[in-house]
Amino acid sequence: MTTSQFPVLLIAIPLMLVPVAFFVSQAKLSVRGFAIASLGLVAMLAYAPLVAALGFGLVLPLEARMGGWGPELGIVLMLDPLAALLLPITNTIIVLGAAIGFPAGERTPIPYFPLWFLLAAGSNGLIVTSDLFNAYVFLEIIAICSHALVAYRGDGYAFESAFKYLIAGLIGSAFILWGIIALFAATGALSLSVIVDRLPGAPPALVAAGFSLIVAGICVKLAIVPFHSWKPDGLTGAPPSSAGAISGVVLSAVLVLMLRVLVGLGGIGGPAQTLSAVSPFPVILTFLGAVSVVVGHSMALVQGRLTRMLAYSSIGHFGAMLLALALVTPAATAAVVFHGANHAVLKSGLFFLCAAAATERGTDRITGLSGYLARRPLELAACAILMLALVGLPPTVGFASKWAMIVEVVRAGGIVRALLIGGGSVIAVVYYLRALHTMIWDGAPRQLPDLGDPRARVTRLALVVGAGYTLVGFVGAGFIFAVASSAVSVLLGGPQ
Amino acid sequence: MRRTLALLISGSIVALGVTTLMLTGTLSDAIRPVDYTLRTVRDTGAINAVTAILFDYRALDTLGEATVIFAASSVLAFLAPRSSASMLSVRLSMLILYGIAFLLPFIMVFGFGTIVFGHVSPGGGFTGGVMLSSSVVIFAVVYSVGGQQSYVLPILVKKYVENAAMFVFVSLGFIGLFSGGAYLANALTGIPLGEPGSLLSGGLIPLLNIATGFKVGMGLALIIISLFAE
Amino acid sequence: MLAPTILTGAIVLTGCAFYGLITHRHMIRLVICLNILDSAVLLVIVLLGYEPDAAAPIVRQADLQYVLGLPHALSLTAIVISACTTALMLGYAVRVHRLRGTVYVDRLTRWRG
Repeated sequence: MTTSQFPVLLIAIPLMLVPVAFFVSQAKLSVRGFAIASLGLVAMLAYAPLVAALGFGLVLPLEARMGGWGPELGIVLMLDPLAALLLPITNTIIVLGAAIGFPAGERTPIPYFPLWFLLAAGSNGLIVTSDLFNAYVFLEIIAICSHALVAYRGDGYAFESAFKYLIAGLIGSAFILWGIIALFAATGALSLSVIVDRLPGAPPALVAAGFSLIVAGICVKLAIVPFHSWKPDGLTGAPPSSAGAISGVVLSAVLVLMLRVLVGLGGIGGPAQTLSAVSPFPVILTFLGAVSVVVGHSMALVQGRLTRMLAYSSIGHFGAMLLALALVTPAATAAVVFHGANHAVLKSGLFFLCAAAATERGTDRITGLSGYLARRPLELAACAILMLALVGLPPTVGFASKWAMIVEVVRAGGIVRALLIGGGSVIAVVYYLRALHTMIWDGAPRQLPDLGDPRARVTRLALVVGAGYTLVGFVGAGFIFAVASSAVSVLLGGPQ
Repeated sequence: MRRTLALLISGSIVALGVTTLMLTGTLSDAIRPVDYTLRTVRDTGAINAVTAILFDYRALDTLGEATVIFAASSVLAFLAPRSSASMLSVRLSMLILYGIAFLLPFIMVFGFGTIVFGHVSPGGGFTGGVMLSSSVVIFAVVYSVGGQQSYVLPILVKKYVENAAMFVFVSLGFIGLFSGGAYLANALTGIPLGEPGSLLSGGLIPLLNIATGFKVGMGLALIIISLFAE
Repeated sequence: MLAPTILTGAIVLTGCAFYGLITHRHMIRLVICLNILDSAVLLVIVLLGYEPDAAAPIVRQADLQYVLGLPHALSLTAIVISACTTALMLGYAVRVHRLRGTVYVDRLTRWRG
């Protein structure tokens, strides 16, 4: 095999692990150890392209032609710097989430580890594929796995959440499929690069329709405001570890699809494809983003449950990213890539903390968690750092990315947008501080449980990793931003 | 209130769609998609273009959709309660019991035939797999009356077959990776494509067909029987 | 003449599906509406490969005109995915009904705060 075929390993190995895990379980061996170890192996593989590109001069994008057919006939996987930047993050979240959410003892109504394997295969596939219909197939795999992970606790609330989540996800997929078919009718191709090449000769109305349908479907999946109501409900009944994986992995993968479509068809970064010039889509995206920022952060203010608060805060964050994306400049897009990667790490870190707290207290109400952090210095520090980063205060990586976003937005002339993004952060200070205050001081500190539960140790590991990334990332913010910029410039077809 | 809103939204969807249609006109000026039909035989050795696209040109999509079936079936198999078995409370007449017993082998043979001849005639792993699953389901419906759980295959056997089929599919892809330079490669691996139109043609396509057929057959049977048990 | 009629039909079907998705709160009806939505797309996909008087794409003679194979492959994929998700949603709906005693989405929990 050649190096260029590397991306397919990230899809084929997790898929291969599903039957292997089944046979392991039938042989009465420990599936758990096997599954965690192999997911860890996949995560290490996911680090390889980034490390090789930065340290050993590997030239990205790696282009894996499935079956040897080119983009006009078959499917081409494209591991570009954008994918290389996000793959390590999503795969690390998957292995940590699988280890933390493992239901100890009780019989789960749903096969647990195969779903994480399939989630890994689906999200890796969606991140690396350059074929729109293939992306649709991977989206559906992700949808099925992630809502089953929402339901695995098996009570009525979990199934209710899963049903709501699935309905919303499928409406989004249907939009996306309509859009893909419209683009196929207009250009006769399914590969994004070929579609972009053939745009000049295609019927413009059909292209615009297909483009807006895909963007609308992605907005449903990202829970942008008019389509947002599924998300808090979908995450409330879920185990917080699954909610963390959904916020971190699924949303990042969908964001990659959004970026590819916007860059290819939306005309980010230049007058070559002038869809942004002739259609009102930047205005619409700006409007949706602004409403999302306002609604997301202010609804987070009135939530009494930690998971719902985090879910609404995600809506606000993606609204801010949409505001920056709607400017259609490459620099703002690079800032969005940076912020998207950070958001995945930070949000899933907090969800994992929430998972540990909810396992101990049996509730995720903020009042029910009072005093949880009081005698846990490590958790307290990590939680404070992650919350600081989500608000966007120094010395954290969240500050760096939000600052980059605001600077680029102001540079492109969007003062009002910058004020909106900043205002969202101001609201975020209030609700995070309130939650932190309750979790530290209110109520009597209870006796600490023993740390015999391995899940608690994994949670601490995850928190250390997340907080470490947050602090180290602040120091190396310029470097990460440079990687994000080169990712966007490669996406635009330019040199690395 | 909600009805008005719904009328507004769906009305505007229809209006926008029809406007796009009128602006586009007939699709005659749109770019035609690439025609696989004429190059299929040369490239893959299979004469059924749809099968060739599904199992060679766009085989990754097929792997993905087989995975979707796999995920759905495993989730549903776990959801279904173990206890409830009887689907019908009435006793079926002798005529039906013996008639089905007579028909079932034919259904299964037809299903197998559709899978195996998928690259030279209409059919393929998916259609044949659906036929296989229908035979399993018919058996379960007809012969599990009266509370005895005599499904044609225990759930565990179905899961074994399904997992083995998935393993085979992914492994067949790796053959292409190691000997042909591309995952799921067919002609590139050097496997002889055979004479187009004969049973032993199409390289890896028949093998992928068989793997998919078993996977789809067992997966759909699991899904439907689990839904019965609900 | 056939193509615009069918395309309009598919668009109207989409509108119907959205009307149903917004007005109905019964879980099974929501599933049916999603199915209608999928069928509308499938109709368009199959239509894209259609040519009058062309044969099925099984190449026994080189000089015959065949319909395009790609849309058929795509529609097969989309059908399978739609069937699986429908089965899953029905399974969840039955579960929710059994555990929560209602099939109406709006009578389920209103999580507030």
